[in-house]
Amino acid sequence: MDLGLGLAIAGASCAAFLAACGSAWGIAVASEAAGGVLTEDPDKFGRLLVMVALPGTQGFYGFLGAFYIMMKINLLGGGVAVPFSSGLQLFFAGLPVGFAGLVSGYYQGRAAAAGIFLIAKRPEETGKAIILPAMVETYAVLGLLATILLVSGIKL
Amino acid sequence: MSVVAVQKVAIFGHEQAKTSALQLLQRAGCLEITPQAVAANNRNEDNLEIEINELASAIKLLESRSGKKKSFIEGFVPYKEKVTAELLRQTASRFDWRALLDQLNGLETRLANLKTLELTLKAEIGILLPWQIITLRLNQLNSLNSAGLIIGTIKKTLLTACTTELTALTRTLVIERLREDKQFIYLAIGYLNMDSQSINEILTKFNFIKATLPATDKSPRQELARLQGLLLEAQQDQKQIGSELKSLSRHLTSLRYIYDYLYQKLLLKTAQAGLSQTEHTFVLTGWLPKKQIRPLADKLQQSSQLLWLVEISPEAGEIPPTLLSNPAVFGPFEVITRIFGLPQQKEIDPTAPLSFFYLLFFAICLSDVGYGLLLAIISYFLLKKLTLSEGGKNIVQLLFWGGLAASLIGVATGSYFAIDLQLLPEPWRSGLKSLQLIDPIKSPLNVLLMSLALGVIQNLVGLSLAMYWKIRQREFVSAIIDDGLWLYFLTALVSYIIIPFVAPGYSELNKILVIIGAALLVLTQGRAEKGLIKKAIFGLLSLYRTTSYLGDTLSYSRLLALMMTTSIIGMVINIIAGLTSQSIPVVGYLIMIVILIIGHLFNLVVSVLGAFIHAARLQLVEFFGKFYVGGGREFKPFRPLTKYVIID
Repeated sequence: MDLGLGLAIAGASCAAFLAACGSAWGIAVASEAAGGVLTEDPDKFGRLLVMVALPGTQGFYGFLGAFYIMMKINLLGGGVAVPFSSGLQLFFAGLPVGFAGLVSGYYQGRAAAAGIFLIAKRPEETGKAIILPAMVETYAVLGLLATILLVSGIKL
Repeated sequence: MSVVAVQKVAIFGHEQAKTSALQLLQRAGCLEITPQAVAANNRNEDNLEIEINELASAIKLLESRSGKKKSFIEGFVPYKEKVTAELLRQTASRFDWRALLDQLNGLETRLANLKTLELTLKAEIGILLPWQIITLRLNQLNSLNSAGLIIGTIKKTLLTACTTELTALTRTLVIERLREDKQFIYLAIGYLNMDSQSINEILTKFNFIKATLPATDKSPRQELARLQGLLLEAQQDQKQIGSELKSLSRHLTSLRYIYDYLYQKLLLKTAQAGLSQTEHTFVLTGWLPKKQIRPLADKLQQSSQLLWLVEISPEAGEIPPTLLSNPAVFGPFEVITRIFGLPQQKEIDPTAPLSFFYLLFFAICLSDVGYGLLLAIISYFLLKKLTLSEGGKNIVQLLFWGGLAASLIGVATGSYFAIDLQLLPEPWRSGLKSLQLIDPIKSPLNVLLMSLALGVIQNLVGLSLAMYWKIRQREFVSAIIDDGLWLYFLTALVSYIIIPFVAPGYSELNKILVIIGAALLVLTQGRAEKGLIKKAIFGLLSLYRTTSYLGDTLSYSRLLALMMTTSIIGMVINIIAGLTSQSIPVVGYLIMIVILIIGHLFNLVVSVLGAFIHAARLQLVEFFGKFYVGGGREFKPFRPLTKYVIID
C-alpha cells in the first residue's frame, strides 16, 4: 500500500519538476536574448517580457498534472489507500506532461529568442513573433491532456 | 467580404495649386500616393530632416534625464495625447527650440568631457593609492646621479627567490618592503646605476611589476588629495548638469509637439518631391477607395479651379493595396487577421467569420466569471483613461469583449475566482450550482468532446468559406469537387462516429454514405495528373488528407487544457490562502488576503496571455489553413503621421 502511494507521488513530482525544469531552461534562453536586445532599446521591455514569459507555461502544465494526481489520491485531504498497480499507473500517467514540458520548454525558449530578435528589428511584427513559439507549446498541451485523461481514467 | 474596392486615380493640377492640394490630401487622408521613380534624385539637401533628427535625440536625452519612468502599461500600448493642429503650429512658432537644442548640445558635450575626466582621474588615483607610504616628493625619486630607485610589486611567493638572487648579485643594494596585500608585496629597490641592467633582468625574470608614478613635486599623499579634489569637482559638475537637464525636461511636451509639427512638414515635402512635374503643372497618381472618388474630386474642385481628378487603369502587374472595412463590432478582430497578413485585394476578409470563433475560444480558455469581469473592467478603464493608438485600442477592446464572454462561459462552468461552490452559504450554493452546466475538473472528457466538436465545426466552416469563395470567383468545378466533396465526406465521417450514440438504426446507411464519399474522392482528386495509373494513385493518396483534418481537429483539445489551467491554478491559490488563514492566528487573515490578490492577479495575467495566444493560433493555423491565402499589401494613405500626439 505504501509503495503504491509512493509511486503516485513520484508520478506527480516527475510531472511537476521535469516540466518546471523545461520552463526554467526555456525562460533562461529567452531572457538571454531579451537582455541583449534591451541593452540597445530598453523601451521594448514590455513586449519582450511577454516573449520571455511564453516558455513559462510548461511549468504550470506540469504543476497542473501533479495537482491532478494529488487530487486523485486525495493527498491534501488525508490520502486514500493506493494499491501498488494503481500507483504504478499514476506514475506513468504523470510522465507525458513532465517530459513533453521539459523538451518543449527548452525549444519554446529558443523559438521565443528568435521572436525576440524579430521584435528587435521589426517591433510592428510583435503579433507574429508571439504566435510562432506558441506552435511549440502545442505539444506541451498535448502532454498535459494525455496526463489528465490518463489520470481520470485510472481506477483506484 | 469587406475588403474595400480601390481605384487607381491621377490628380492633375497647376503648379500654383500644388501645396494646397497636398495639404488637402493630407488632411483628407484617403489617398495612397504611388511614389514616382524620378523622386530619388530630386532630394534637395534637407535642413528639415536634420532638424527633426536633432529634435529626436534631444527628446531622447531629456526623456532619459527627466527621472520619470514609463508606466508598465505604456510599454505595451504607448498612448498619445490629443492636440489640435493649431496648438502644434503655435508651439513651433513661439517656442525658441533652436536655442534649447544649442543649450542641450552644450550640456551634453560638457557631460561627456566630465565623464572622460572622471575616468582618467579614477585611473590615476588607482595607480597612486598603494604608494601613499612614500613620503618623498615624486619628482625626487629618480633625481640621483649615480643611484636609482625602482618601485613596484612582486608576487609574495616569488619574493624570497628574487631577493636571494638580487643580494647574490651585488651588495650595494637596498630592498625596502613598503607594504603588502593579499597577493603582492610592494617594494622599493635602491641600487647603483652600474648594476641597473642586471638588476632589471632579474626583476623581469620574477615578474616584478614596475610602478610608473607621475613625476610631480608633491608626495603621493598630497597628489592623491589633489586628484580626489578634482574628482569630487567633476562628479559635482556632472550632478549639476544632470539636475539642469532634469529641469529642462519640463520642455519635453513642447519639443514633442514641435517634432510632430515638423514631421508633418517633412511628409508634405517628401510627397511634393515624389510628384511628376512639368514647368507649370504637376501630376500624381495613387490608389483611392472607390467610395471616396466623388467626395475627394468635389473637395479638390472647391479648393481650386486648377485641379482635376481622373480615374485611370493600373499598369500591368501593379497590385492594388488592401484596405479592410468592418463594422465596429468586428473592428477589434482585425488585429488577429493582421497577425497573419492582410488579404489580397480580391480575397475574402476573414475578420468577421473568425471573430465569433475567436471570442468563443478566448472565453473557453479563460472561463471564469471573476477573471472575465475583472478583465472587462480593467480594459474598460484603459479605454476610458488612455488615448491609445489604433492597434492598442483594438487589442484592449478585444480583451474587453473577451472578458465579458469569459464570464458567461464561467457561469456555465460554475467558476467564480475558482471558488469551491460547496463552501458557499446555502442560497448561493444551489443557485450557482443550478446554473452550472459542466464541471471541467470532474468530467474533463465531456469538455474534451465539446472542444473537438467546436474544432469540427470550425473546420467545416472553413471549407464552406473556401467553397463559397470559389463559387464567387466562378471556379465551379474546383468548388464542388474539391471543397464540396471534402465537406460532404468529412460530415459523413463525423456523423458516422456520432450516429451510434444518437440514432443507431441509421449507421448502416451512414456507412454507405461514407464509402460513396471516399469513392468519389478517389475518382476525382487525381484529375490533374496525366495517365490513368497516376490519376488512380493520387486519388487514393488524397484520402490521406483525412489525417490532416484529424490533426487540425485534435488541436482544439487545447481548449480543455487551457480551461483547466485557469481553474486549477485558481483553486490552488484559494487552497493555499485557506491554509494560511487557518494555521496562523489573526495575521493569517492578512496574509490570506495578500495571497488571494497577488495570486489571482498573476493567474489572470498568465491565463489571459494563454487565451489570447491559443485562441489566435486556432484561427491562424487551423481555420485560415482551409481557405485563406493572405499576403496583401497594406493601404497606406497619405495622412498626418505622428510619433507623440494625435492631431484632432
